[in-house]
Amino acid sequence: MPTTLEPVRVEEPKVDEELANDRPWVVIVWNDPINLMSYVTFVLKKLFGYSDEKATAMMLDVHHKGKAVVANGNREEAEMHVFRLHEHSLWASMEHDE
Amino acid sequence: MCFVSTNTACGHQWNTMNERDFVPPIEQVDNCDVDPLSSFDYGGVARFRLNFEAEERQLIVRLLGEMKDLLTSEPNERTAPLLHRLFPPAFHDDEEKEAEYQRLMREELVASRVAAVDSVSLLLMEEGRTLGEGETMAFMQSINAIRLVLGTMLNITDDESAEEADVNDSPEHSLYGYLGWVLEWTVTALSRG
Repeated sequence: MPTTLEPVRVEEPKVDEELANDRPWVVIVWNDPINLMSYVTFVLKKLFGYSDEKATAMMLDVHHKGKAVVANGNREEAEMHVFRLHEHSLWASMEHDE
Repeated sequence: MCFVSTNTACGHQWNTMNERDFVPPIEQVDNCDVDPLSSFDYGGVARFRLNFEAEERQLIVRLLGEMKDLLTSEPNERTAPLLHRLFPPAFHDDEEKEAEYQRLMREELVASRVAAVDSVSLLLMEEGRTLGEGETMAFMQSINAIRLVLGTMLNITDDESAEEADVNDSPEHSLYGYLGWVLEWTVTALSRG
């Protein structure tokens, strides 16, 4: 039985990459002139379970500011949200949280 | 039943209808209207009724067929911008991740849209058939997708062109307005549920 520990060479993690991977993603809906405001609000309520008030506020942000963050999560979760928004024809994308 | 006004973006186009009794294109029906036992058996599961004339059904079935053709054919110069709108990028500033998303999700997204179009086409061919909530959601998604493609073909790209489209009375713009009206009522009916 060894009584001393061999020195172990530790791999230095690439800090930037690690941090980038851990950073949460945000799901963004962009303004578009075709989707009806009532439709956008309804989809946000249906997909994310938001209250009427919250979904309406997000829809108005999309309309007036050009975009709004509607959800967040890890990459897999964010991709699923984007997929479901695309299924409903909303102009959605995802990016790292700033 | 008389519906005086709607809260639609294109409500002004339908004001002429205020003076007569007017039936919305879709409405939620009480369970007892459908089956006296269903509300007892299923505890208030919502049903929806489409109030379409035969020509409206035929029109929408035809548009759904065109949508399916668009979804299942190879993109060309004419259809590429329409498909881009139906399948927008998920990653705006990462080409690698975007390619991966399209590779993994595009097929599934096409399949999901085609399944909705197929089921809605069948439903519309059965006159008098009421729809469950999931079927009504599929109807809403499909109508919205058709409207989105039509709006893209009509070059509705910003608020200004959207306002111009509202007052344009070409047949295509009228169809766009009609689909907006159907969609608005579908959202209203589903919101009651």
